[in-house]
Amino acid sequence: MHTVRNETTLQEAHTITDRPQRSAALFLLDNAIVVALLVAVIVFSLASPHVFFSPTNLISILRFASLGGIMVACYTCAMIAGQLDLSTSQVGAFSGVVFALLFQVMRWPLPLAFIAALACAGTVGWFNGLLINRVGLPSLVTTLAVGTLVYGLSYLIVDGFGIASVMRLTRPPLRSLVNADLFGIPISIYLMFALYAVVYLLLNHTRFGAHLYAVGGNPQAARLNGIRVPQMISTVLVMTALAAGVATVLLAGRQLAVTPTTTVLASPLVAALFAGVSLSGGVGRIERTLIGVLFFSVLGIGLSILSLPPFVRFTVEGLAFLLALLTDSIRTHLEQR
Amino acid sequence: MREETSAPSVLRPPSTPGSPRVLDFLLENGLYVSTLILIAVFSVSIPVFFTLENAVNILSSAALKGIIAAGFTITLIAGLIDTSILGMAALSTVLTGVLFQQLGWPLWTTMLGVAAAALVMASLNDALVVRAKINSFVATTATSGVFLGVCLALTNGQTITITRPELQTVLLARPLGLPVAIWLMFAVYGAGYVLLNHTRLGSHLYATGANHNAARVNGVPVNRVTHIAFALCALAAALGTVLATARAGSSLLFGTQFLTFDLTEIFTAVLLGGASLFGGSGKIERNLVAVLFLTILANGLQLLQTGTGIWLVLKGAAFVAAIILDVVRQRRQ
Repeated sequence: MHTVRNETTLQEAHTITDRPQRSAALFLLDNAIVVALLVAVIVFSLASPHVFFSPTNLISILRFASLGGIMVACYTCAMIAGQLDLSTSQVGAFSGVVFALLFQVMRWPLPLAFIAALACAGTVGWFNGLLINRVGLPSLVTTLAVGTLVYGLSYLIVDGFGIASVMRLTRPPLRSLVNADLFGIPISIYLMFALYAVVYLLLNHTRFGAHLYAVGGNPQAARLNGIRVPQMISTVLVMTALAAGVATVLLAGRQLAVTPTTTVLASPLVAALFAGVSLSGGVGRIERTLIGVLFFSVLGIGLSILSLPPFVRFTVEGLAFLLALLTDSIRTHLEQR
Repeated sequence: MREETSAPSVLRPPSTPGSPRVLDFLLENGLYVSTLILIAVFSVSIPVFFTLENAVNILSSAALKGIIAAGFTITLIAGLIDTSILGMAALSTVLTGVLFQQLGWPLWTTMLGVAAAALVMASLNDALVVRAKINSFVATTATSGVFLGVCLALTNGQTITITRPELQTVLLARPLGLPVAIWLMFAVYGAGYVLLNHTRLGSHLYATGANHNAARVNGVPVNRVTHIAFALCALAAALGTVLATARAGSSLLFGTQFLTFDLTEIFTAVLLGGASLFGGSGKIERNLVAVLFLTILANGLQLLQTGTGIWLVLKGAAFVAAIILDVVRQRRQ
């Protein structure tokens, strides 16, 4: 059933079977996200030519993309290893609430509060991994359950300290630090591109990356080849949790407030899936994920420039999810034939 | 593959020699024991808990979730996870508002309309899972989003208040002293029990969930079984939601939030009731106890006036415990 489907084996398979129609279809499917981004850019620049290509708008597209992008970068690694994490929103909000508690209420110094909040997020990721490895349940349900628990914990913190459910962050260093610019470009944009560069190197030029593809493609074969599958699974789940924590604390710094329902990106799954990361694991390229993140950002900003009612955006995102699923299904089908 | 104790045609395998009987007993009856303990604790600590009025109150809340959980169990037994119950419930409540209140349809055509919509939604789920071969959990998560989008397009995010009395006079009536919802819940569970234990379709559902390929090879029409399981789940979600809508007197969607129940609650109840995530096992009657357990817990905490946080943490912990129990139970079989 599962074969190791990373890019090189795929290309070899193509040259061997040499069926041009199928290769063309696969090429289109693989690069659908690039086409989608181009189409979105063309449509929105035609619809509002003066606004869309202005430097402020381009920066706001990147800024809008940056926090979600940080989450999806790590999420892609998890999906490549075959793990789907549904707890990212709740884990992110949890570390945001912990950060607010330590930094604002308890007056801890900023770096210490930040590290402690990330430690909490990482612990949840580790717990996800523990349940998946020890109990042997699929990641989907495990992370759904853990997410529910963590969501409760956020509320418990908010309740227990008698704080209003919106925790305001007014202490000085945070705002200026998170919203700092470098050469006129917000710092979160640099962070996003740096993270993608690191993940690119990690996936394509390290043993760890190769092992991730192997674990996602065929866990049994990976185990037989001496890869420590449980450790890999734990690592990627800690990565997604940490990324969610970082992104949410940065968002809290932008909004100067955090609640137990603060979400950076409702579904990193959709963005990654749309960028061609397969649900079944073992397939995915980080550079396409970046394009996918940019696509969703262009879509979001574009729709808000056109000032369409909010439900349109919601429906468009739902349909995008469906479309991404179908694309993934067709691709898997074509590759297995 | 795995042997299924709950499948009516399969004999229960003898427990392994030397295995602790206590654990088996607890896995089998822990739910009943903890429900009784919960009732005892709350009765002692809260004076108004053990009254007829509160009992009816608990049963009515349990009825709405119970009906939806019954449908969810049937899909789980067939090896499918239908997370779109939330989206389906949202669309059902909005359609009830639109058809009954805004278009002024009579009650029975409204209910038929909502049922028809439920069947259409089930077919979409079915197509994604059977034709496109997408994992049911993910496929239904996507469709759930689409259903919510349709709701928002229909109402523009507004809640519809229902002022025509007919819906409430019929659905909130109390024949023989109990609300209609409770009677309907018992009817749904009765029908579900007969369906799962005494019909050919029931054994087909268990067989499909236990081992999809083996079932197909043995002549079980797996695609039709899948279709029926999704349809029953959608119909149950629609029925439960129409009742909840009548109870609230308005459509239940606030923005994109559906507040009457959430997916994790239904999931927890069904898993605590002993249905397995891996398909092929589960007893519908235990569901009822699990739903009652969660409802009693919520009711007691509400009467004790503890904060939302404690209820949410307990709910999450129950969910985590339920999935761990599921695996422990699978391993012991």
